[in-house]
Amino acid sequence: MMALIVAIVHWVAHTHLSSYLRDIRWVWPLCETIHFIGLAMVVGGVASGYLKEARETGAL
Amino acid sequence: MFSVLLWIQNLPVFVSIAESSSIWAYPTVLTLHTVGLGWLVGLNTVVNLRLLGVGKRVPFATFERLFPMMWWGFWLNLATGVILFCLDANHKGHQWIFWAKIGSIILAMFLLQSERNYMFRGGECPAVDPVPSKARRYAWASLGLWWIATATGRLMAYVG
Repeated sequence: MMALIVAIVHWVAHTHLSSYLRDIRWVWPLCETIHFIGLAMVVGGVASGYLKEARETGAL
Repeated sequence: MFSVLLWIQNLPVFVSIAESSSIWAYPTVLTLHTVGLGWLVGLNTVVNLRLLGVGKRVPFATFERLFPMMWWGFWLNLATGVILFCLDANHKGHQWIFWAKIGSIILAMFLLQSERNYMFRGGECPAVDPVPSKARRYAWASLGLWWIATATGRLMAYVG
């Protein structure tokens, strides 16, 4: 199983996308920034969905 | 300035957090900072998107309850942010991008409170669709400032 994981990771690390992410300086920080904005939107969306439900059911 | 930052960074409490290999030290502080970001920025984004016309079936009154929760996120991030700053004060204190982040957060929090007052407290905003253009301007400005704060926060690891 471990050998399979290592093989997959090795393959991923040598794809064009992987090289692109490593070689161009601004791509990785940009991806990380977008990832964080996405994280915030998911947390906010889920939290407000739960809050709305709690309000409707009288829990809040 | 230099010596003060160095003195803060070398306080035993911050040295022990920085050098600890425990998962309850630096990783926990950083995780809580990310949770706070998700809470504060996420909830604020939801309110702003509603002002911009997303999810029109949800009444405006639902969103007032989110504002105190955003403040919880803010206090959590302030507490963890101060610790993270102190762990590397001498470096972060000299990064222009760190001060850009702090500036955008201050402006965003000021806007958050103004937006709340405008929407729910002053009686100025009718709280029905279509949303007044002033409310949409608040929403765009707030979204923009949080995007800048998030981006500059991430870029601190790479720039300056």
